[in-house]
Amino acid sequence: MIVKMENEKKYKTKESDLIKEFLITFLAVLVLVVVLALVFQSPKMQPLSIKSYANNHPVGFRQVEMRNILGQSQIETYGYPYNNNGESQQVYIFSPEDIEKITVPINPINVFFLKPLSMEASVDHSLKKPFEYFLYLQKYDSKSLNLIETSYYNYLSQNKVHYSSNYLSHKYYPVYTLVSTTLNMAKSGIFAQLLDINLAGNNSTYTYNYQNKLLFLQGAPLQNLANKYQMSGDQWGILKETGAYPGPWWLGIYTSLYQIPAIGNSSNADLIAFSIFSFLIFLLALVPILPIINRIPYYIPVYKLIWKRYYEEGNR
Amino acid sequence: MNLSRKIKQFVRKDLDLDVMLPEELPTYVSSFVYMFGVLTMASLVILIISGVIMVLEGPLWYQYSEWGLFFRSIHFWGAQVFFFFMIVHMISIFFMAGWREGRFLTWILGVMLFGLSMFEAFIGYLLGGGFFAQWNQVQAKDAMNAIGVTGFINILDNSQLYGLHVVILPLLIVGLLGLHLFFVRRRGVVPPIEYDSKNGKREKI
Repeated sequence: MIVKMENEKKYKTKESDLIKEFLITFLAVLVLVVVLALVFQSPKMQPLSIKSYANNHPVGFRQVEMRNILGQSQIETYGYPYNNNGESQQVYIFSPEDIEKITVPINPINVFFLKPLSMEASVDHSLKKPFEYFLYLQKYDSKSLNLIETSYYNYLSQNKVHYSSNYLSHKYYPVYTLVSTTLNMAKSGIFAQLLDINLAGNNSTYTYNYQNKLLFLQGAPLQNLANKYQMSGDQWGILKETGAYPGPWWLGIYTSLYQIPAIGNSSNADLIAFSIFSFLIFLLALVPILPIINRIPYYIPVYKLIWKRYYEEGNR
Repeated sequence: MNLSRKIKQFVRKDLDLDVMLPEELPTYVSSFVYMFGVLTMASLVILIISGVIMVLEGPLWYQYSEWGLFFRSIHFWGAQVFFFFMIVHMISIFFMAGWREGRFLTWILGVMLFGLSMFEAFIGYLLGGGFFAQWNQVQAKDAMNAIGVTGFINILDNSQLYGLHVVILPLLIVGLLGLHLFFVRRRGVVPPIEYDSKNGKREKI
């Protein structure tokens, strides 16, 4: 069963020490990597935290919260696996999302607004009244509530006239009061912590799941920063690390698929790109039996360079 | 079927040390392109050692302490050279038609290693802790959602990513690499395409 280097034995051989060769190679690569690490170090740009966003962009934070409340956030119309309000990506009849359905249910107003507030209201009793009033309106007079929410969101978007907080809390009660509370919570850092704790129940000790934090920031906050650094998907963003460091350049072919307008602009872009890339990897595995492709090494005789010495010596 | 006997036979015959670790190799192996496989493996060892040190100390250490950042830099550049060597290795094996004479499976295992390594390294980038990680985690979730795997692997859940990056994918990669090497040694290093440099003809394809 064993071929026992039969092929190799037809050729002239020489003594070798594979272990020693590996150790020398290892040391050489180690020196190279250590020098690279010392000279260039590694990417340093810190992530955007909800806390810093709330402190630096309070109006932006309020707008994100209002979109969550009004049902205008990206998640609201995302569809599977978060909810069933959006369209699934599809290639012909192939739609894995439709098979998966809702596996990570998220209701933005609950996750990003009501739950953190309900926890805060349990310790801050001054919040109880506006919070309960909000819930009351939500249940019994959603029309009035929607009117308050819409007009406050419009006020935030226009950003022309600045009223005092007293006036605003009266005019847009209870929405303004509650959104201001989440803003203050976010400024202190509590808001972000509560988002994660809510993922696994209030008694969770381990909170390494950053899903809610990331989804809260995924709209304007992260997008604006990504645009600033030209890191969006249609700008080859995935290949660009911050601070001029190399990104995962080996994903270049995958990313290039998104640069093709017919794919990049499609609502099924992710599924199309993934399908094509998987197929390409599959083809790569089959290269040895693909007609024409498997002849390329003979048509483009790089092998003459590779084994130049062997051919010159007229071996065997 | 006696499993114990089968395993003993396999170890005795197929893992024969004279085949797996020969002390003589054909002279054509002196071509420098044969080095890239070894260079890739050496980079992988550096990635594993630096990765193990980082895991021992934890994410806060390698993101904020001086020594931690140094090892993170080693891991980062280790990945860069790993892919450089791996891709040069793949391209050179392609131009050597390295799948000849019963080496098709070795090629397939190499492609599988390439695919797994791409996924592994991308997750590494997502665990980097910087803005790139955060932004691309959010971007990549759309692809993961589109292929319907979020219920199984939630790319926004760092505990899952950590497990994949530190345990599951490295084990798969090291296992496949073991198989890849096993077949490389079992079939021997791919020999030159037969070509007569005097009359410029290929003798055999």
